[in-house]
Amino acid sequence: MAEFPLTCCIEGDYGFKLLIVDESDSIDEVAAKAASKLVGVTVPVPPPGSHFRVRIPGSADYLPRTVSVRESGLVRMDPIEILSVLP
Amino acid sequence: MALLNMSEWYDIARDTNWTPRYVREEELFPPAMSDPYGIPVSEWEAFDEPYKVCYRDYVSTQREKDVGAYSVKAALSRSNFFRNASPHWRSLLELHFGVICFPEFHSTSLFARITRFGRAGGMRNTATFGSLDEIRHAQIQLYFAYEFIQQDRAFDWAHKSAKTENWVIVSLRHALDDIEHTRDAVSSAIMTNFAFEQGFTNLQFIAMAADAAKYGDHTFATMLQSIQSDEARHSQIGEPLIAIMVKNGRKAEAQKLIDIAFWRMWKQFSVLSGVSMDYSTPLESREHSLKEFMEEWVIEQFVRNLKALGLDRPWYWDHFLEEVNTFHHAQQLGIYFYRATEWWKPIAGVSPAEREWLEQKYPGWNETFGRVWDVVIDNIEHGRTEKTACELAPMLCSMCGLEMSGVPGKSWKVTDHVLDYEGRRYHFCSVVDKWIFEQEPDRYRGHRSIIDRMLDGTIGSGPDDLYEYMGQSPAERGTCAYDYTWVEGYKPPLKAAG
Repeated sequence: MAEFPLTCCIEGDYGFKLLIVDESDSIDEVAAKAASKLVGVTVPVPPPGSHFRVRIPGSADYLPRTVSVRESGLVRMDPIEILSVLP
Repeated sequence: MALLNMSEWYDIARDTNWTPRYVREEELFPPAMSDPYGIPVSEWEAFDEPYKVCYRDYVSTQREKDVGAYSVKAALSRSNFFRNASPHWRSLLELHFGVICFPEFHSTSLFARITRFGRAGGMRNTATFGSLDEIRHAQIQLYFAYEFIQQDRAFDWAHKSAKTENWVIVSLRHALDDIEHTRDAVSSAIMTNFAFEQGFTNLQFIAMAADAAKYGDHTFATMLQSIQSDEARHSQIGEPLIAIMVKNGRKAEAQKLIDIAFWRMWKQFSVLSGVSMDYSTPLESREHSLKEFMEEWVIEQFVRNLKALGLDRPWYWDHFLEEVNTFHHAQQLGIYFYRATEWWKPIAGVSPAEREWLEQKYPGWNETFGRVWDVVIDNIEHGRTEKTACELAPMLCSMCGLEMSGVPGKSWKVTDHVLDYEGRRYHFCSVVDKWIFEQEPDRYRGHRSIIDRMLDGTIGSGPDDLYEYMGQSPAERGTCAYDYTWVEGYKPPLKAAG
């Protein structure tokens, strides 16, 4: 268990936030942690069936959902974007 | 006995340079404190301040100003103005007085440095009076703030704030330490007198005075105008100074100093004046939007002054014009979400009528910033007020110290401008803040933002640790000034009975 800080901005929000996750968290868990604090607070609840993906700003691709933070290539205090997608 | 007119003796009186015989020039005027640009003394002799004043006239003029400001205050103190003021206006006063008093006092030190280490007699002369001005500005604003302290403990922060590590104060202190307090007399004068004072003080002290007069707060309006009349005089140090720099081949240096200081102060004033003008001033009292005032006083006038001196608009002008439309709106969102971290009681300022005004002044506001407020309003309407505070800490810019923000909603665009420098990561809210760091990384590298201090353990992770670190007891943490009743404007009107 090791704390892993990131900076995150959820789609539609006005600013970046500090997000502390665990390096063993999967990318899906990172998205869920961010969403749990920001959805319904700074951004509206997305349409039913949506789920959240994580993207490095400027990248066209999302990070793989099941890899851990440790394996993802992210470094401490990397910025990430959290986006709502429909299946 | 008839006194001579000042014009008959002023030039002799201010000509106080001499050739030292017992010490070297650079011992008397160390370049690091005085002039690091190597401009010959003979060139400094050409410094000519536009507004000339002597001590005799200064004392009588300032006394008249003080009589004016203090007598208005005395007359209106009996009117219970503050007790009856709108929470909007109280919020504005709490913020203004909390941030302004100590920077004024510290500016005394800046002017004292110019008084001692300026190479031109006229520059030293004008700065002497500037030093006295800033003592006055600190004292008058502390005194005026203290009228309210019996009714509202937030005004204790008029004096207290300087001694805290509150994030707002850390941000302001960093900016002013950079441009005023840690540079030689010439550089500080260019950055402060020209870029800061001529560029921006009109915003808070003229534009706000107009809004204050319209609202009926004549005490505050008179105080602001009185302060600005001093500013108009001592800020004139900047222009003749820049003329000498340009003439002596230092145009690029002068330009860079202005580019840095202008941006740094833009960030501070966009929060102080922008939030005050576009949100905290009651709607019916707003003379101009921040953008309208910036367009007239800064974008037009300041640029005109720059060009008259042979300088250019800052390289980032397009970024600046974009931010005039957006930055303070995002900051206002953060001010509301993180109100507990502030000593004043913020207002939302987004009733339906206010939103209509914001949309008119800033087309697209409702589809961007309005979208976030829609979530806030929905939460309050459904009794979920705990969701109007964000549990995640905001990222703070490693340069300006304010929340790293952009544009939300439909045009979502927010960027974390990351820089890795000598083993440490820095985060900037804009390319310009990052550029400022890159000009002198060794100057800025040691600063630790509140977020850095949270991450390195300086600030504990307990629920009260951040507040205690920032000097806020439970009673000193901001709450919604209207206790959420401001959403009443969104309720549909009740149907008439029968």
